[in-house]
Amino acid sequence: MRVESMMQTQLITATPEMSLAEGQRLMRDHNIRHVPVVSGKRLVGMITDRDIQEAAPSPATTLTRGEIAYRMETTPIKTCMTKDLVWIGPDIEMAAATRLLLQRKIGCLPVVDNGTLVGIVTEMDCLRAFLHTAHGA
Amino acid sequence: MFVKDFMQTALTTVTPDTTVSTAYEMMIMREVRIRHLPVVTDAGTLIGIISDRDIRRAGASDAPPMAEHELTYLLEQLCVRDIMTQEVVTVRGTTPLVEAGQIFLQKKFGCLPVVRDNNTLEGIITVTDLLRAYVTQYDAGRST
Repeated sequence: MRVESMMQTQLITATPEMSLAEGQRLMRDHNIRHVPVVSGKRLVGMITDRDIQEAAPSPATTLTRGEIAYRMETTPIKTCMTKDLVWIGPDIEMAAATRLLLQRKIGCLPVVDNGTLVGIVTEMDCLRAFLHTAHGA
Repeated sequence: MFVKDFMQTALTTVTPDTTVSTAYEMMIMREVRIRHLPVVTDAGTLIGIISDRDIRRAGASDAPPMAEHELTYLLEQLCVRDIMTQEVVTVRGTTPLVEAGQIFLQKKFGCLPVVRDNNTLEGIITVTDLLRAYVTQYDAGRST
């Protein structure tokens, strides 16, 4: 079973200039944890809810809540996104994509075809692929 | 393939009286962060489960995400029993992996405790364990 038959193609993406607060809203509104960051159609990074949590200023600082909110609204995603990307092509086997997820300990793989982001594969998509093949067997 | 073939049996557990801050430290003070801790009685009976998300929610306010040490301080007052999930969906060692997989997809859980007949804890199985099974099965299929 190939990645292109199981990947998600209705993509929610962010841009590098989008603020951390906007990124957080995007994840909350769509109930997702991984968002590809694109410049045009080109994949330039990945951002997760954890990346944003770690980048957020701690309330233990002398900053007020208003100041923290201001920073979240003005800090761009490109400052904390993962730029060292692992991606796959649409024609590899889902089992191979799953192996890559496990090896890299990541929850989501962007799928890139001819330099363009065409989908993502999450661990839940890998699980669906497993159940398909197990049923077929 | 059955749950018992891929479940984890070297378990970190807490009791209902463990403080939430201790439980949280047990989750984060390790090389690989764990996200769920089964809650067992002294006799080993499973009575609940607690996740890092439960803990974050217990410390949640409208403030931005808290730093780890601040969360720990807030949670020293609470015990695991106060915030654990009590109605736990469980599987058996003899449950087929596919069935466990369907529970993960339907309920959007990340982890299922594995119990024996008397509800004592035998192991846990996670989505990651199922993905390992997938890769193992795929490799076995290619080598035959």
